[in-house]
Amino acid sequence: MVHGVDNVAGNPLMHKHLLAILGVVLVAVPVWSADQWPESRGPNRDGTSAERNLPTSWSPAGDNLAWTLPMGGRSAPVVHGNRLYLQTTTTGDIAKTQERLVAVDTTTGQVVWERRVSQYLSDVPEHRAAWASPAVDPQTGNIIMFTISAELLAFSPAGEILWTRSLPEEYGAITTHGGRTTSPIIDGDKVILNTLLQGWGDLGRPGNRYFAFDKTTGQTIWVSAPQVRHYDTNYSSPIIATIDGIRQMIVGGTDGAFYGLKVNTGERIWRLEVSKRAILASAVVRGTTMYFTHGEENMDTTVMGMVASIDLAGRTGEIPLTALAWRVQGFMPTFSSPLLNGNQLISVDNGAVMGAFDVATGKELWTRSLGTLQKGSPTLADGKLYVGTENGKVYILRPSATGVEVLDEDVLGNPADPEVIFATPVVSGGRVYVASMERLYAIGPKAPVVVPQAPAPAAPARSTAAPAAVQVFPYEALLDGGEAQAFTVRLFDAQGHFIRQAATSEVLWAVDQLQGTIGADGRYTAPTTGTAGYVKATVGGITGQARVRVVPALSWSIDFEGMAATPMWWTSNLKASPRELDGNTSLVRPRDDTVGRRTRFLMGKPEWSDYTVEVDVRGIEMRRQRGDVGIINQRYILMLFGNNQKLELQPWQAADAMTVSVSNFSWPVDTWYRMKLRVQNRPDGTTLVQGKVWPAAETEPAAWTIEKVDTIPHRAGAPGLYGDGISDVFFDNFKVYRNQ
Amino acid sequence: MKKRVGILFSAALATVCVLSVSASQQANGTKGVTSWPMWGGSPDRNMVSDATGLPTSWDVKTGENIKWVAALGSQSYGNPVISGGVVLVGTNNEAVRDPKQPGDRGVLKAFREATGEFMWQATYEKLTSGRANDWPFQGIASSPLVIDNVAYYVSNRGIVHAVDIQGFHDKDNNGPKRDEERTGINDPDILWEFDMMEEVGAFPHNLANSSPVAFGNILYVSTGNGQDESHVNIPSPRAPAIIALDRVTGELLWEDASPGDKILHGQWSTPTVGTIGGVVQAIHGQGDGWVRGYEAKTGEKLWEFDTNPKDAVWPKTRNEIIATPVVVGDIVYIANGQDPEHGEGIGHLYAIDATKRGRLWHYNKIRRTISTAAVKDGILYYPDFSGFFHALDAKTGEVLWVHDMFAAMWSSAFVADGKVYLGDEDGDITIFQHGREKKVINELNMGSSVYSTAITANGVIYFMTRNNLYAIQQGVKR
Repeated sequence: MVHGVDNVAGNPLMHKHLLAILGVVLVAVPVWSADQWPESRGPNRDGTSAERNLPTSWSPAGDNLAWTLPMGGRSAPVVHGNRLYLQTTTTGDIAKTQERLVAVDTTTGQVVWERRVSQYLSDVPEHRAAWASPAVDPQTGNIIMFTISAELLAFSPAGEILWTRSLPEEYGAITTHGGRTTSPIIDGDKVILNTLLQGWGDLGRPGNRYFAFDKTTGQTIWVSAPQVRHYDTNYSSPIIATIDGIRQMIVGGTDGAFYGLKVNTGERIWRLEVSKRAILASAVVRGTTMYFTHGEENMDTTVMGMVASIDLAGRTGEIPLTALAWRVQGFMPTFSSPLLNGNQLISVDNGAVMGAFDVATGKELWTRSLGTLQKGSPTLADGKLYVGTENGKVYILRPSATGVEVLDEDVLGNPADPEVIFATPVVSGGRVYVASMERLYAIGPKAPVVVPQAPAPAAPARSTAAPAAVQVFPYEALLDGGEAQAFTVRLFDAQGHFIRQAATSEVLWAVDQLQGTIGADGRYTAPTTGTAGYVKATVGGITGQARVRVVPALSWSIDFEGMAATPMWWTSNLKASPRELDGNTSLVRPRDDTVGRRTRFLMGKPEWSDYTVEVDVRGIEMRRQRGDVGIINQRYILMLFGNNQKLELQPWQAADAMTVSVSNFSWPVDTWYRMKLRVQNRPDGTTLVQGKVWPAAETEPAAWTIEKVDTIPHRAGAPGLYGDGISDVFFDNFKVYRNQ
Repeated sequence: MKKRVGILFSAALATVCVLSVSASQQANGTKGVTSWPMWGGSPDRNMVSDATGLPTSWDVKTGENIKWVAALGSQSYGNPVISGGVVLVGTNNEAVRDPKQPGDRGVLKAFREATGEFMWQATYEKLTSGRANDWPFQGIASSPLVIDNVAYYVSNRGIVHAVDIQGFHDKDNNGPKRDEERTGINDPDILWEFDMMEEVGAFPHNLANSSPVAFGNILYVSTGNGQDESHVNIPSPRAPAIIALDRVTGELLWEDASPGDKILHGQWSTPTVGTIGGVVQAIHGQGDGWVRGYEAKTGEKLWEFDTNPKDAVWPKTRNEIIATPVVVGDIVYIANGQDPEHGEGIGHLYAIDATKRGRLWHYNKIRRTISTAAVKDGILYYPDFSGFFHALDAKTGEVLWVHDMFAAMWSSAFVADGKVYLGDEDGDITIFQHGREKKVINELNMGSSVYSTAITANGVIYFMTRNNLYAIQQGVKR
């Protein structure tokens, strides 16, 4: 039995028809259920739904409109059972902008609950927040949310927080102004996503990394770094396919290459470099053939954009472009992901021109202009294409061999200044959901079609082959001084199939660059001092590793004397170094004309709260420029601007309206100033943030220079330093201690 | 040596030359007839030409009316200019010509006007500071200014360059700079360079793209100073928005930093020179959404005009200025908009009486635009980024007609020979009858996006797509 198909609403003939078209896919990709849209790319991760009897017309004024809500956003909602989950921002007072996860009863259109999440240490501005779609775990109904701050949160169906991971504080994740944030997927026991980071150790180099987290606990299963370079940020949602018996995730990289990674281990199977810019769209797989698009520079011509296909059977290592079955250039879909409709590949280019290409030859079959700008992907269901354009139009189209018939066309909002649509239309329960930047529209019948939930997919059989990979779990641990951490070892075969958990007796444990001790049982005990490095486990001659960072207990007092390098237990540790200045050793964040000039150094635990950070800072002028310096406490930054000669207190660096500013704050060059930032969680749920800056040679003034009572507070977070290397900036006498 | 004397000589007479050339082009109907030496063809930047006999149909596939085609990189934004028999364009390095100059670079290419034959190129590595200063694959987006065989342009490295348009084809290394690293026949003959990041602390946002303009021996350039990658911080608020350089020596003459830390995003508008109320002025649309006029010699700020309603909020309703101001008589025409990356939205088009009387009229039916005006016979043509092409009465701002191109427009309309030529992102070129009533003469497709604005010289009209430059002439076949 092929599960999923039995749950399709509609007549039995449709099942046969579907099997005829999708038979191969059903072998390759498990279909959870045709009634749900649990992830950004849909139930099959291919932009299609098998539902029938979907709307052919509607109007924003109310025709065939079940309900509408005054909340929209960049990302598409997901649907599971009778719940729709929308990841969006709060509206109203911009100074109180948060991301929020909203659970909506699909029957009534009523909000059941919403959870608000404050953003921090991010360059993504308010109007680009809530970029990603959430994902729902089909087995538990739990919801995974990945914010623009690169915080990962798991919620129960009732809206309780199950666990969180702070990727900026734990891994040095960097989130940039463009806002591009990947929508996570859930496969088996894993939550999979990618982010740009500049961490420590083997993740110290700035670049894009893939992560798999345990969906139940949030612990890290693996981190994969298949790219040798990072170029752009991206948001290519992975798809999953089984090819050559290997269950692989296929994803577009930030280096212009597609990758096949073993989903259980993150090991790279193959790489196909197709563009000089990042891949933003997702690919589609039918059988063993991958179809993909991009809209940027090609490797070998001056024509931009590509639509192409390749048979992935037997492919490993670096795949040359000559292996492509066919490719067409000049059609430029950077943002919109393609889908397959029978013998057609359908995509929408950046200028909102829809094109259809023959899947066997790549021949362009037809094009149709839908507007002038496109970001979202089309959705195919019930023989109809649903598309929302950035120009604010919603189309329902019936594709044929020669073109599309426009069944319905509507402008959202005021035609003179329409509601922008970035999100992909979503199909579930006989309806189509369209999110504009302003509103959410539930198009279709008042009563959604209720379809029984799909049975859970059978657990994959355990492999009996020889081990080829050793996975140490958890893959990363951030520990207090003296804390212990138990590690276990999982064995996988050459195809990435799980074999078994290794017995204690067969594992040889060791530490590498890491102080502390590890016992024969895999239990690591940290020293009381700060350290970072690796725990290594060897089984049958095969070695795997986990990463461990140990932060000493407060209080800290670091004067950098005698230090040869910035401690490895700081993120971005490679971006600063000790330097002699006036007979003392200070820490310099040097002028840096490379990417990552503005650097955050984070070195504590995300759950710390109610402490104070102090440091001496000093600036010089180079080429009429002076760098900015700052201290970080519980996700707040106190920032002293060099060129601007002002002081700011920032709860979310990119969110100007939240920032408290003291203009005309003079701090001359070549003079030490002392910065101090204290954060207190108050019993009323607010947080009091107080900063002061004074000449280091003078006595500390009693009064605070700058202050904020935050009503959408950060209640915990790691300490850190901030340096903008537009010119050299110096730090000394760094202290972190519990509030006195 | 001969050349150097020539440059010095021309510098001495430059004031007279530029004014008289500019004036004669307007008065005698010779603009665009034998040359197109700068963005807009003349310091007033008005996108009109006096050329005649231009084609209204051609076919890039069959070669009908195509004189020659020059291959460019994958993206080309440095609008072509023609002077002294040389065509100059800014593009990227995706059509790598010299394997020793590989990878993503800004490229200025020189071709022979007569044949399209490649002459030389100047290439510039990307800034290591990355896209905050130098966006990938954007190439050189400055349209050079050519005066007396010297081309002035801004590279992706935020450097103002003065080069000999003949390169080393004249077998002479012209100075002041003579220690060029590369001196082959395909290399640029550099006269001087001014690094705006090192010298005045400019922090170009995403790309320095200014197309220089001159008055006498004074060269005006926008620094491109703007936000850093955080987009909430102007890292260099004291750096100027506009600088004036001695065009012979490259020395800094004056600078102005009026926008300060009020820059909304970047500064991609390019300066204009015009005579308003009898005073020669450099006019610049700046990063805070204001247009400012400066006394050309001293840099004294004479007037400033906010192109945004006071209640506008960035980025939803408040706009930056990417278009170039156009001067016709005492009137400055300018519209605002945003980086194409920001999508569509409301725009504002103004006729400003820059004799300090302020707004002549305001047209708010335009969408965000990055295009520059063309004004001819009292008709103002203005494309917008949402695909609408507006024809207005230049005196009153009254709408004459609007045409929907169904594709985004980055380019400006070009008026010549009684026709209006307009290209769009889908690669379509629409040719209209110049007039107060809408009449479409022809629609053609170039096979690739047309982000450039047409230019003319010697009876040939030029269109640049992303990756090709087409010389188009009536009655030829390639």
